[in-house]
Amino acid sequence: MFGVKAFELIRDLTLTGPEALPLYNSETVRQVLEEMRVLYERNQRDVNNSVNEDSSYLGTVHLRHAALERNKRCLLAYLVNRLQRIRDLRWDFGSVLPGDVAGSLCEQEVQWLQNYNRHLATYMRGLDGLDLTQEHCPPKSLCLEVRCLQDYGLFELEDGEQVLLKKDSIHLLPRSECLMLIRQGVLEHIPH
Amino acid sequence: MKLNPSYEPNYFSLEDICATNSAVPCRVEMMIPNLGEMDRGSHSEHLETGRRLELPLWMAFNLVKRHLVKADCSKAYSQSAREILKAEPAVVDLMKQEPFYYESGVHVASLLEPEEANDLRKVLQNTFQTRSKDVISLSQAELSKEVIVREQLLSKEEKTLMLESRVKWAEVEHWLSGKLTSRELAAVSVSNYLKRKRPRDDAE
Amino acid sequence: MFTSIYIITTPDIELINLSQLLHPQISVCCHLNIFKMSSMDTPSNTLQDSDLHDLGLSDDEPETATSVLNKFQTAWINEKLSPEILSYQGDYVECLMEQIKHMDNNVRKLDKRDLRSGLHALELSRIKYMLTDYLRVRLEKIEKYTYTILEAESSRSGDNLFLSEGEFQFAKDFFGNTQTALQTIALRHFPRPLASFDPAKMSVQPPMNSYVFVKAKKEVSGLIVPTHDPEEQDEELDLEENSQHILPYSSVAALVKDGTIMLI
Repeated sequence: MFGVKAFELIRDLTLTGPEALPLYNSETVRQVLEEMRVLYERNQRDVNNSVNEDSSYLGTVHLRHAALERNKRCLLAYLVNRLQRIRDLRWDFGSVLPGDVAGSLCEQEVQWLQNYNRHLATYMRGLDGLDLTQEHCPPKSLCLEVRCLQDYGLFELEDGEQVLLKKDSIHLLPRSECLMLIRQGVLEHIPH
Repeated sequence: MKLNPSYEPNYFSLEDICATNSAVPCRVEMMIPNLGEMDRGSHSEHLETGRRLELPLWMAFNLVKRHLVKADCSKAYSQSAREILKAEPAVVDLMKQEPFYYESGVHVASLLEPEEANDLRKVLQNTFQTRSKDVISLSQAELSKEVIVREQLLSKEEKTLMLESRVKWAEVEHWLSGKLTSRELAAVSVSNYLKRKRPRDDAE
Repeated sequence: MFTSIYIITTPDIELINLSQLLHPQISVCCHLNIFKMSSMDTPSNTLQDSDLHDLGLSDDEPETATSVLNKFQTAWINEKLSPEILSYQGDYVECLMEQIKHMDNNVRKLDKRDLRSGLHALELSRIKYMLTDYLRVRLEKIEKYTYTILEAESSRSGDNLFLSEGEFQFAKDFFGNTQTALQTIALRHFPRPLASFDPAKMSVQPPMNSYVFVKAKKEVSGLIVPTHDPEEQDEELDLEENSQHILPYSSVAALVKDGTIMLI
């Protein structure tokens, strides 16, 4: 049946939650493009046949055309939804994705992400360097008590003071300086 | 933050693509040449007039519009299914019938004769209204075996609403309890990623 | 064919999309809570009105820091809760950025052990949060509804633009970048008649019919609220000053933009 391969791409995305990015499925993408090529070729042939006063092929042409449009919709939706997820990952992890997450992207997606980072940086420069990727929750206190979840090493604060972030150590740090590390899972907030 | 959470399908909606993938029984009204391969029960080279076969909704839209096929209600939306929904909307397992029960249903209705289509639309509307009370109560209920069983009856649309409002109830409660400090959390994607990664690190 | 199921099934307001009902309330509850607090514990010399006399935002009455903050807060909440992008509050944004710089300097000058230093810094981080959140929500809308927003913007005249220069550039860059990706991976491999991006079919529209909580700042009479049931007539409503309602956004969009009502 037509459109089955294309729907596999969609299923790839719905099987995981919206915050996960499955491996780019280049093989299925190739198969969908191939199915489209074949559908189009056959349609070309039948269109030529119908020109010779035989209109009974029109139904066939319409059906194949619907299949072509469906393949197009699935494939584009696959790509657009992936870009959306890549964008979300960039906001969560920061501008550099961890190696195995980045490995799920295809070459053009990597290119897209680089451009996205550049465009976002340009936009934020226009705001006097205001960093929009910080401050996701309304602030209620200046310092947060945090537990370190991994051996991170020395971390320098804005005022020059240095803190050694060692696994399981507990610190009281200025909110603005540790938010990104919390989002990135280096630190864990201990609420009161 | 999520923007406005209400759902309206667009060209790229995964939900709508899934909803339009479900099959409807169709009868071929006019022979469609060369596509006999689509009809597994026949050896003809063509899709012959009078043959019955199941087609995905997205294909049926196009063919019904051109009077090449006539679509019928699939079992999930048949006369008898509608009667059950009229009598006892709350207990039907919509997920089993059709995951995106409402969205697929609206699409199916667009293929039917006006009278039947209207009946189906009314049933969908009444069912959703009755069941949404259940969705609200489920979203507030303590998790228990019974709740989990009831959750499994929800269609994907209802489930999404239920989960969304469960999160919101938790936030309301948190706020009402007067706790000022909200917890700063790692992003969901990040914590899932770390969960996947940690066990492996520990094993090494 | 592509109408939303949640909208079709909403003649009974009590039963609409309940996340809709809850969402605005909780978010606003939290935010208002913060900013009520901040006005109580604002140290007197952080946001002194006298510092900021006549910011040149309005011809007739001079704006004070507090009134700028209040107005921007309304703009921020409107932006957060409206499905579509609203016009950019450039004057307020610039003014707050100036304020932030100014306060930043003041805080730095204070001794770290001074109690006031902490209070100022907290106040500062609250204003920063409000500002970044405002810009971030707008950016998200631009990314999601890029084509629709660019189309609308190009039909607007110079003094009636909805996007800031930076946002407009970002929208164009974002659109171009995504188009290039789709072209290289897919579109250019498609059979030629299908190889284009068809905006009529593919542009994503904001959910204009979603329900919103509103509060009338002035009296409104004869507001037309469409019903989704073709058998029923559109409803006509009068809103009293300060009254609160749940209405489809599309019926009040114009009133949100001219400030007659606000989203809550």
